[in-house]
Amino acid sequence: MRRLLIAIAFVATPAFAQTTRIASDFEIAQMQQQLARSHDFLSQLSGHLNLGDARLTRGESTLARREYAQAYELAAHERLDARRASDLARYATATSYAALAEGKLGRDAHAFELSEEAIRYESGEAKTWNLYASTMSLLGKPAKAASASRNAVALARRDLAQSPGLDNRLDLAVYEYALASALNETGQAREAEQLLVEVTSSLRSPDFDFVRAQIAHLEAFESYSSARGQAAAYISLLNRSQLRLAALYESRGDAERARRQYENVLAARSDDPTALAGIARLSQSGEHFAEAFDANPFSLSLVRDYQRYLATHRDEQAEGDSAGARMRRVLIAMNRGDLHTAKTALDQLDQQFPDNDTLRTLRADLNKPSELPSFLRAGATTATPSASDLRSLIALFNDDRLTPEQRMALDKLTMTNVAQFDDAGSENHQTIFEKGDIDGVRFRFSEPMAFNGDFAAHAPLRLTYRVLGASNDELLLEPIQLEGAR
Amino acid sequence: MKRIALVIINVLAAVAAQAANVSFVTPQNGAQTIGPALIEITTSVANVDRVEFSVDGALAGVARKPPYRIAHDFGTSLAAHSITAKVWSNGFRNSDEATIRTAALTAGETMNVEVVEVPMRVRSAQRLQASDLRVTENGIPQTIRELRADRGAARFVFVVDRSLSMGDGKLDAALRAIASESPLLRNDDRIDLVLFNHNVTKAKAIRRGEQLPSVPPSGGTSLRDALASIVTRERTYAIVITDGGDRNSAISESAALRAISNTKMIVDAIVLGDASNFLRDAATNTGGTLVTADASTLQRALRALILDINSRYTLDYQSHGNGSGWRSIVITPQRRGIEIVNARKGYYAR
Repeated sequence: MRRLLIAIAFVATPAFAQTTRIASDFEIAQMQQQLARSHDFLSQLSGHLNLGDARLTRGESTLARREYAQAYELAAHERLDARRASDLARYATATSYAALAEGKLGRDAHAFELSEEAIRYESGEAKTWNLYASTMSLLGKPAKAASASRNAVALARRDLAQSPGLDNRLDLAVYEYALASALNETGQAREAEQLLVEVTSSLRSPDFDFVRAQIAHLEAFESYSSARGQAAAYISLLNRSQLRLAALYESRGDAERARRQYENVLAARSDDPTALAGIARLSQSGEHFAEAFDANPFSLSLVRDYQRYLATHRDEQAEGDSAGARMRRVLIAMNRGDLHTAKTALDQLDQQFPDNDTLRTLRADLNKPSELPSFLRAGATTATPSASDLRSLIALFNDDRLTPEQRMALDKLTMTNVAQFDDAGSENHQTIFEKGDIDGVRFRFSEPMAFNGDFAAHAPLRLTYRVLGASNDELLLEPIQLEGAR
Repeated sequence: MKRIALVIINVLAAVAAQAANVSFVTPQNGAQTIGPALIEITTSVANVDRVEFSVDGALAGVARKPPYRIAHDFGTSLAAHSITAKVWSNGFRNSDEATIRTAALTAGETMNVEVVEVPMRVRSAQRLQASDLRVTENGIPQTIRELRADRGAARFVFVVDRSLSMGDGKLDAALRAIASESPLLRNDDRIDLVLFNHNVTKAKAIRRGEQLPSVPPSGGTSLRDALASIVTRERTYAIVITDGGDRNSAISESAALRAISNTKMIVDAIVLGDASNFLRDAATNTGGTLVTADASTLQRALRALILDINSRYTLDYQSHGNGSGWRSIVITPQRRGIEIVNARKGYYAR
């Protein structure tokens, strides 16, 4: 029973950000059950904190804040009860949790004040120092977090020497992990790495055979920032330590060692979103990105990694109907400049996942007003527009943002580009074309058009045309002349 | 009071008629359209720049001079269409538009032919004929269309549990058994592998006898999700290899049973431990079998299961006389010396 709530040591995990079920669905389901079944302070507190953290990894900050606010309310209430009962140790613990919840809510000054108060009341417990370090890390004070973590580790080593049980071993590993995280943030990567290697080696040692058997029996795999019980603490700590090590190796450019750590994480949990994202980033493979998006479609760092990947993989496709596949379709369409397709796919995701930060960010990206093509500004009568000009024009049509003057100018403008047609029909030395693309921008005529001469489909041809309008991501063109590309 | 209301309505109607400066010549509102057709409007608007025609929200064509018409191919769809004509005038400063909606074409009467396949194991001293059996569905006698002594080409899906409890060599034994026994399947069978823990991987096509790479056992168990994920309209034999219960499925037992108890799927299972009631029901409902084994006997059990599937009779009948919901199938011998060992017990009709 001593391990009621393994001190909250995992707050500073790298950008956390799951295949048709999002990985964090499982943690959310478990925590919702915990909240419904267990009504003691620590079960309720860890339930709300974990739910908040899980929500945050999937871009649901409004829901996350609601959970953190409830955690704060619980801790504030516990503080009052402890003070009335003149229980100073309980008061200090509650104050530490209140500080942590306030830190997660972004109320930095109050969080700092509460942390300082907690440590004044109870400075002989490793747990209190660890909570202090976690809050300081949240508040962006890594040096303070590191020195507090050193205190926690020193006290835990003393406790382990006095009573070498499993609980104390696990506690020490938790505090060493927290120290490593803080050291990493202060640029002391070598010591951080050494500590993380010690933590993972310790957790893999025969000392923890009993916990591993328990985990196998329960088929437990969920990972939490506020873990209760030996099994959950073991799983979470091993997971985070390996991820932290992987991130450290990756930042140093040691891709092979980073990959090994990510693979270790995936051997324990095949849908870990951070490890899948790491593997995708290292391998630059569409298949791995697909798995990472299924694990967490709403990780903004994964979105940005994928956008960088797409810049050099123009033929990428996303099949399937998982949220991850739909998210990738949005990004693929954005990358190709098919803004209407992107907006439609984003609208559908929005309906299923309302109030999502990542979707909101992408919508803002999409809604950035398109530049007016230069040929419309200059009052030209002929032009050879780029693909980007044509995409801007499509966006202007779709958003109905062309002025009467610009419409007049466009109506008079004759454009010429090298085009490729999809299919060709032919009769009497005439070739019939209906649709094709200009440097990736789709176009069609209002009906199949017969051109004098024998032309091949999928071959570069010089098309002179007028733009009649656009629908979705396609231009409607009026052909004027077609000739072989010179 | 009544008179005032009437006057107001009349004024509004007059305004509406005036706004309608655009009217369709063809097609007319409510007409039916299919294939290539003309779209044409007339307008009283002066200084027209162009008329844009949109079909179902997509720009279909532009006419600059009267008669304002375009040719458009409505395709082969029987659906209704929304057609909008937007008239730009006075240097694109003004626009007037009108929209009509064509009517959907109704297809002729359709007939739903529902052929039910019943895989069955039968012991008989003589070769079985269709006339030797009687089929009822919810008590209503059905006419047997065909009784085949071979099972025909099918899709086989090995649904393998890769959860953490499949350690100690169980998962490796399962993958080895599939590699060594899958050559017993017909050349024209299609084989898929679905691995599941708390998540279900997409079905991956494998070749007969293909050596399968080792997979680390990890995570929880979503057996119901895994079985429900492979349902298709194809004749499918799902062979489940698992070591027990379900901890993480999103789908309920009844929903999963409803999904898999269709007319074309048979669930067989090898259980390395205690079988769940769900898996028993899934096998029983679909005419499959459930056997227990351990890592050392798994390969033998799989071999026996595939040989059993290969030697089954398949009976086809065209269902009639029942509504949607659970349809219970009862097959009875019509002469002595025939023993029906097992057969599909029924299916859910939607």
